[in-house]
Amino acid sequence: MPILRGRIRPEGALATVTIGPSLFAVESGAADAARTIRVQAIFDTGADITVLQEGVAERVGLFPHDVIDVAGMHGSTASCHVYDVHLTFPDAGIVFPNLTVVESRTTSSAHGQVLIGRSVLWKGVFVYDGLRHTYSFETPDPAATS
Amino acid sequence: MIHASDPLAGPLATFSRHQGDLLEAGHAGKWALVYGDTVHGVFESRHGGLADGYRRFGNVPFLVREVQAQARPSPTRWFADS
Repeated sequence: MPILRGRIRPEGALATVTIGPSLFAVESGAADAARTIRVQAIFDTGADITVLQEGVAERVGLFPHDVIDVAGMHGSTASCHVYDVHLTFPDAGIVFPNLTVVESRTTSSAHGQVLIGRSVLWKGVFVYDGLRHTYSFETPDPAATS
Repeated sequence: MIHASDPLAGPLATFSRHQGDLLEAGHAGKWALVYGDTVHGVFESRHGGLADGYRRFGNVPFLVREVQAQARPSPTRWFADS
């Protein structure tokens, strides 16, 4: 089973991810997998779903396929575009070929261009070891169902 | 609130116009594929609508939305730094 291991930084549990067009888009010939980019991500167990910082989807050449309301920490609600992406943790070989994400229009994070929410975490085992300042994320299959 | 210049503004308006008809046709819980001012199909899953949308229209803004009586789902929680 593939497993990602990392150290917990003062900012949180950080990881490198790749973001590209979904497998649906690539297999249909609609999008080019070569537009995949590498960005820094931060695990966020408080987020229902995975969030892209504004601009990431545009860099990859993605277009939205729905809009949903997203509530922030202070109770504010914003309408956010929904995208479908191919997300990987390249250091571990974990792949989410068709993952639904939203794009933040109102918030930026200095620590990650992607917030890894529970839409990813519920596909595996996430261990946050505060005493040893390490984390791990393990999935039962390299290509996680998404 | 979606601005009129949003790439999904047209498909969202189309979905709203057809939502009642889709419900009456027994499509509640299914997923509608909308491009421009037309509903192009109804699918059992969101993935089914996405795959068909990419095949038909390519990498462009199209809408894949669940047919349901409730106008909008409850807000998804996102507890990031804001």
